[in-house]
Amino acid sequence: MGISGTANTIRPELTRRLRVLAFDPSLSVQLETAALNQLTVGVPWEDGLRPGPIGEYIEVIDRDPASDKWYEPVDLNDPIVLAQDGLAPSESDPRFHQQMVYAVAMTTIRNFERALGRVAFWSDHRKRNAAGDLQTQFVRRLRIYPHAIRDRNAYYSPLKKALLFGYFPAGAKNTSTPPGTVVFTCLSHDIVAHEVTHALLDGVHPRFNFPSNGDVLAFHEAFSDIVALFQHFSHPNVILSQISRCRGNLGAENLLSQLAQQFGQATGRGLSLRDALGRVNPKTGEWEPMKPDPRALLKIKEPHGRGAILVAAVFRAFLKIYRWRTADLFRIASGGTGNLPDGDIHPDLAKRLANEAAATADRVLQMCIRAIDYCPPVDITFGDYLRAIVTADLDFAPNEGDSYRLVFVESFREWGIHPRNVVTLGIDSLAWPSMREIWQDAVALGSSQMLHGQEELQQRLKDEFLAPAMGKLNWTLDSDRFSAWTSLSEVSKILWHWLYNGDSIGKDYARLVGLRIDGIDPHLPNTVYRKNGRPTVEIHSVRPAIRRAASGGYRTDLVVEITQRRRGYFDAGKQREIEAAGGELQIEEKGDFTYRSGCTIVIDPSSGDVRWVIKTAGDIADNQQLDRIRNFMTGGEGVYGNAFDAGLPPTTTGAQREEPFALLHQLGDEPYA
Amino acid sequence: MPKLIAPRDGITVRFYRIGHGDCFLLAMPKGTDDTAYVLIDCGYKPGSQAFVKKKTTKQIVDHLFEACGGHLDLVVITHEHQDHVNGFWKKNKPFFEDFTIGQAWFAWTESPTDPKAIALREKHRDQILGLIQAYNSLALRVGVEHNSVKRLRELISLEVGEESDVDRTKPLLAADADPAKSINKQGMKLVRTKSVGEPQYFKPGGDIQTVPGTNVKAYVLGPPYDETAFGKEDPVGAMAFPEDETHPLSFSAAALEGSSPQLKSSPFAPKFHSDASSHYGVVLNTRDECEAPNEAIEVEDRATWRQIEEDWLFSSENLALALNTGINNTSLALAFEMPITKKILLFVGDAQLGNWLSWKDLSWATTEGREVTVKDIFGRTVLYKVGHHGSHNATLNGAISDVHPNLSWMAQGKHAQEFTAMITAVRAWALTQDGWNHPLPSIKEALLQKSAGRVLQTDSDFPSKPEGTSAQEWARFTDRFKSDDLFFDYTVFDSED
Repeated sequence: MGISGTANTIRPELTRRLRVLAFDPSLSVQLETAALNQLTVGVPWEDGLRPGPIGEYIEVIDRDPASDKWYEPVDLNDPIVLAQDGLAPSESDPRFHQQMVYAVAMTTIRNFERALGRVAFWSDHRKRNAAGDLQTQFVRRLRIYPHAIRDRNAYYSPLKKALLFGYFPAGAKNTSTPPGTVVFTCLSHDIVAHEVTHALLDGVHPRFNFPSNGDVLAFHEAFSDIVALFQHFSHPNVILSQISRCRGNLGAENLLSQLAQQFGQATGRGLSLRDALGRVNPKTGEWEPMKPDPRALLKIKEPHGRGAILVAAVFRAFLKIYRWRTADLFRIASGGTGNLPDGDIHPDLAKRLANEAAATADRVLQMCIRAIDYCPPVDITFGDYLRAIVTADLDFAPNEGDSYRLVFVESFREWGIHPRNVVTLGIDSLAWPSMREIWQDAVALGSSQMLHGQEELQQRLKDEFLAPAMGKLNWTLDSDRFSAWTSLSEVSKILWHWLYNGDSIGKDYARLVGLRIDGIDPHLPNTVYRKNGRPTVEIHSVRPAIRRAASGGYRTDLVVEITQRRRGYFDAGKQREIEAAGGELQIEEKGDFTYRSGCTIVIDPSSGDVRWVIKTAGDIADNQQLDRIRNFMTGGEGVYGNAFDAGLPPTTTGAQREEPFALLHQLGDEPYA
Repeated sequence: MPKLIAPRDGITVRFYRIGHGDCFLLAMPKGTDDTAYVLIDCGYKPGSQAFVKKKTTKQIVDHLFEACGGHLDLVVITHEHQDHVNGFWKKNKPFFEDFTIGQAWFAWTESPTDPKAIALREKHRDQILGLIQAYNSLALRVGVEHNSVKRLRELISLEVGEESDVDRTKPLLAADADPAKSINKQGMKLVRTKSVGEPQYFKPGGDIQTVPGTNVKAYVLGPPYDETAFGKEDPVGAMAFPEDETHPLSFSAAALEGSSPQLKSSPFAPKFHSDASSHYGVVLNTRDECEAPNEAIEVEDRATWRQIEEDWLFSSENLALALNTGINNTSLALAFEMPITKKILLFVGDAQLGNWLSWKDLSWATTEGREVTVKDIFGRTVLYKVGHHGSHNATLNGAISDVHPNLSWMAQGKHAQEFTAMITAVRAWALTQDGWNHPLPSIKEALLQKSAGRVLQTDSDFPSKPEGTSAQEWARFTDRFKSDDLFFDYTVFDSED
């Protein structure tokens, strides 16, 4: 029996308790922090877990090619190991390394599944078959190589569907580790969570690897940081010892920010996060939080620096929520004055505060993860992400009032993050529109042919797509992931056929969601990819979500992503020339770059109601958007690379970076400024 | 071809269009009616000469020989990279064999006696050896046509110098990094030996220097006497100059170790080592029970594309980049000051961020007791030799109020009308190198803006007059400029016009 052969049974009601490091090994050697560094996490129980560990989602393969060695895999089902919550933390035992990456990765996956309400998938492997057609293959397990490279680096490889962790001798400049000792990146809790998140995000949005504006790669980094950071904070024990030392009203907030900064240092992004969160005031010698800078985004182009701004905006929202959730505790403890007496705070209060901080972190974490189902399929911006957070939370907690959402809007505004094409920052205008609203606008603009079409469309969507599709779906949280994956690809096919045939009533409803599928549309340039004369559409993904709402009920949605492609040329004159000449282009003609646009739509499968429509900034015929992307691709908005490679996005003809995250993830040196 | 004669009241800068690399001859007034010749670097990237009007190094050097009458009063070598030094030496008959050299200036990093410099060079040499091994293993496993392998070869070639006609399908030899064999080292050695005066090795700041035989002063800005600054390439996410590469568990150590697994060091004790087939058979395809159930649509465990046997070797590119930055940052950065108007000609070699950042606190005292700061020097700069082919982070951007030296500090007041930039780049060739972005469009644009179009670049015959510049103003520039297939001549006058 091979490892692909079986699906492991996962029993979420049972947990396997495993010991991990809360930070990284450097804290264990300092008396002050040694206790703080120990953490036992409960990961979902897997019946068929084999030595490696190799389970349903993860396979840890301990190959060290630089040393030309294989290392003994840990058997977590060994009774002795089971009896003591896994192996004790040890830098010199590779089996503890394996246990730790497994435990942290599984915790992260669990958080994703909880927020998104479906089983997690890794991004598909695409390959050409013998006939030359692209084929997608299911990837059951993410592979983790804890000792893959000898470098200050750890990265997710979208090509290999694997995480590669490096190890390296600590240099003389490293302050936290004695020179000459070896630093293992796979023992840093935050780095592991960060890398797994890259892989999980890639599973949902494989096109978020492709930079079409300055926010895209920054978003990948920031999102991974956000998940790692708030997952970290949702363990009350991690925060408790810090909070116990806090004095006064704002002390806890400063400590949380400093803790977040230590996180930044651990993940090698110390400098960026330091700048975004706060610094020691040289005059007073006291640490001070950074005031948000609404102009920072205009100045910073490098993905980590930019990403740090998004992390700072989310962190600011977290602090505000924490402050308001703990205001009563402070009032009680201070007899109403709001000022705590000097000295350590009462242990009971510290515990309550830590629990509040952990609960707040978990809420923020869930908000941030849920939002990725509400993002456009390509070309994400920070502003889009804010709209996604707001919309997702409206679905999750419609009756709770807008407080959480408003806090996010406010923090993002303070950091200068503004969604494009939004008139006001009210919750109602930030939420993505529903099909109903789009329809009303179209009718108001005088598209009389659409007046009575909405019911018709909804009915056809229900009869011709949803009815056959829902019969196929096999998608509950405990279904086998491979059969869920297979059923989803069948549903994609049904949708694709329906889009092509269902829209043939000639009313071109697809335009309402930002798609151009009318083959005889005279305004559609010939550079748009076509097949048999009709513009092609790709059903990027179809995925179900069964989400538990704050009120306790369940809501089921179908999230559909559709994209189109158009050839772009670096020379705008050439583009105009080719498009003016018209005529069909050969499929081999790829242009200099690819412009993609499309939409994400969220459908209620029982009513056929299209609840949210999330369009990219323009549709595929939009020349302004094409110009913007051309400008970005040619370095018009600044670059961040090294002395040879300016870090510009890959073109259709140029050499591709084999590992998009490898260069980005070079761990930084100590800050120098 | 006549000799290049310095104007009585100015300096003529001859910018040789040698290829993707630097070669400058400066003619300065010497005594009452003589000319002093200063050569700054002589090198190019092999292959790049085919992209500018076809020429050879010999043609350039012969031309140079005639222009200076075979005698150079001063040779300045900014740093040890192929594209700055490979024009000096050639096997059997060195290009500069017949020249006489009065003085030679180097950065302190080339000093044979400075312990810091010695340690630095040793480290560099070890790392190059590791890189060469890594390159050879990679070339063997994935082929010399692999993008990463090609990029690596170019970077190594910059460090060790390499003949232009070398067969790239053959492995690199460790001997290539041997000081006795490297073209870079040989070129520098030739200049040292030929120099009549004792070669000088400069640290930043210090005394104001005088160009031999002239009244032209020279300020030394870099390299910083603090090697930690060498690694600073990028303002964010910077990589250090690689360190501890002699550690048994370092990348270089692994690259240099033999191919036998028993000899390889490992971070874990032998009791943890495993026999691959017993536990990892599924990955290695050594057991027959591992067929995937749905081979067509589900990835197999044994899929070779998921293996990582070579990936660790790709780290060599990061190491090579870091090394390259480190050496670029050892560039001797000089500001030449004209005697009367105190206008500045700024030659920064390939200085990158770390070198630039180190300049901010420097100052000098003149014999008249006046203090000269870097901001002062930048403000009087009328000619700027752009750092590292106009690449990212070799010309810092910023505002006049910033604390670090940057482009907007240059050419203040009346100097702005004269400000001219020189970029040593062959863009069409650079783009064939897996997209080396030289010059970076945004930097070139900033320079064009700042100089109102007065930007000279190796591969472009003549800069074009920007719209909005008057014919008269443009003529003031073109009158002082001459373009030839082999070189540009540009004269800076030591007078207020």
